[in-house]
Amino acid sequence: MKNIIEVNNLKTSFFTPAGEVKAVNGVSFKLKKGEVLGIVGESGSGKSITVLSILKLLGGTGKIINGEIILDGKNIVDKDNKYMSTIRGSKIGMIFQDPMTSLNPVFKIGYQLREPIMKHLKLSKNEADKKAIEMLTLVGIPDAEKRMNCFPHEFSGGMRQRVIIAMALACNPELIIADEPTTALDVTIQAQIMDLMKKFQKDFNTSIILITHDLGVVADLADNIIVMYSGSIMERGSVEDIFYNPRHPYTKGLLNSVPNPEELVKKRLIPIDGQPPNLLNPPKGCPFSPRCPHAMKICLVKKPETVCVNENHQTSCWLINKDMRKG
Amino acid sequence: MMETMLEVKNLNKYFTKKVGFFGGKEQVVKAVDNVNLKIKKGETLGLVGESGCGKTTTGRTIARIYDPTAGNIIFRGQDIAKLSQKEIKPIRKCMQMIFQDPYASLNPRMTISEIIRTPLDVHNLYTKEERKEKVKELLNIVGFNSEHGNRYPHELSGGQRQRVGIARALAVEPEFIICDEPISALDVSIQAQIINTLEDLKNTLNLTYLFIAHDLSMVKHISDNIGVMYLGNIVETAESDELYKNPVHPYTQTLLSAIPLPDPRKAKERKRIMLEGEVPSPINPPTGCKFHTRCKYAEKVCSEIAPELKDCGNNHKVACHFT
Repeated sequence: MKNIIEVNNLKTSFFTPAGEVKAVNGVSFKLKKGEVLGIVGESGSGKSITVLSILKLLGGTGKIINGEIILDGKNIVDKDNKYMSTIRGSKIGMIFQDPMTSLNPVFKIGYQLREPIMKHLKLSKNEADKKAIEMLTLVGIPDAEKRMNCFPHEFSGGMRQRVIIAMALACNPELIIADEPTTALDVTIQAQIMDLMKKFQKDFNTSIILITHDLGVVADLADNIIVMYSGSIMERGSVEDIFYNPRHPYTKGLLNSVPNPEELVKKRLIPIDGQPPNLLNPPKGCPFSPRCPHAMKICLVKKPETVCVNENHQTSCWLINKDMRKG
Repeated sequence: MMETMLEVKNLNKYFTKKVGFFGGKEQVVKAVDNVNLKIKKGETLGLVGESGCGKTTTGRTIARIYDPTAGNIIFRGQDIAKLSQKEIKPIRKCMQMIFQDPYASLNPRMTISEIIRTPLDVHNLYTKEERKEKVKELLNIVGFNSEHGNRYPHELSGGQRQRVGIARALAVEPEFIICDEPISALDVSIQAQIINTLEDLKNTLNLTYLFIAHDLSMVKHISDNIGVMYLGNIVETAESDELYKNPVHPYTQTLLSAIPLPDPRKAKERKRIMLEGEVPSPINPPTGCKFHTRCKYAEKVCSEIAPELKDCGNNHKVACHFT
């Protein structure tokens, strides 16, 4: 099957007065049609910057310094803003984290929905309106025709996220990037939104990149998972690999820090000690080494290479490296 | 029989808002409506619900940050609901609060030591020298060294700030701490650190917690008992294992089934109960049982009569007509 998107050795840095911040440091992945890729990591791990780099929405101080982003067989890393605006919204749809701030408060929902449809699908205003109403109904907004004339503040958080999903889906993109789509929402609303995304993924066979810090959210939806830490990929594999056979100490740490609601005897949580590293002055070797309970001498000085556990499952850790050489 | 630390009886907190051109009309928001709670010494009570259900207002009213509209707050045998702010001050020495947002709850212009020392200054405890020692001790308890005391909040990460919040709450040696979503602003790996710290402190200092959160799996982990709130009412209370294994109220059932499971096989097998719509506005709440607009079992009686909290054995209380 052909790849929807391929990212090779992406490096993105921010140039701040205090120095260069290597937010994304050599990230590569491929995404097939209909595949759901979960990117998991803590705040500051570079997961959002990875996808913002794909869309080239980095702002003034951020710059892609290396790597390829291949969309439809074309490397888009050097393309200008004009070209990117034909991709944003039409080929790649984006769902942002905070539904409170990602809609423009001074325009009606209808206007905001209509705009990308008219631009990308080249429809007239009336046709675009029709399409927008159809999309709103599809994402479960009752009374869509009337709601087109409402302002964002008249919607609740969950409803706004539905509007944004409708907007992202309106131009039939091949890829949807969802950056923490449910973090700002209540659990019951989170369940509704995840259900909606699952339904769309099935109906339209859209590829999704789902970014989250909550392992519970990706368990249900993702096919493959990338675990990021401090701008690098620590481990990647299928959902089953990551949840049932995690190899990297950081992945294990993440899985151990959430309580299992089904446990009968209360177990003490096993947190990851310490704090995420300062990216202005990152650790020399493996970025996780200062917090890693198994850190060895080599971890502190040299970045580990990527090791294949199986065809799909890769991890970057000296510990596994050592085991593999022995075995 | 363990001593009761806190008993809340028929607590109401209404907020009024003036509407209309001259502000002549009043709208009433019943943020907390007839809430009853009981916490024994050494126990942790978890309070869960969606945003806007009144769980934070309940906590703040108990701490008397808000004045209750009606009801009794019996803390260590004394009703503190109607005490004046002057009379409440000595009681705050026994009751402290940890706030949700570690970015907003620390004064950015004070050093960590000054922040932790403030409660000691306010309550006029210890001499100047002793205070310095006490601050060092508190910094140690929450895992800092004394050098950290000279830093400012912006130099600390979210998890570290929350530790400062905990140290500040512990400064006056309280017996009861209200934790208002202490971990929801933190990263997963840091959440576990804070939860473990809170659990250790509870055991060594014999504390009692009211733990407010929307994350049911964490609440279940830390609490002995759990109360579930919906639009200002408590709809179900039980021991935490009992509530998880045997949820009776339809709202609790949905909340439980909405917890994201960090286990792909189980998550795929699970049948989720989906709620229709969103929480109704507390300005104009539904009549009868407030949950009936979203409840799939709702019948006529639900929209007419508000169900009362009934005991169905095992210390398990539910407010639903069909139990």
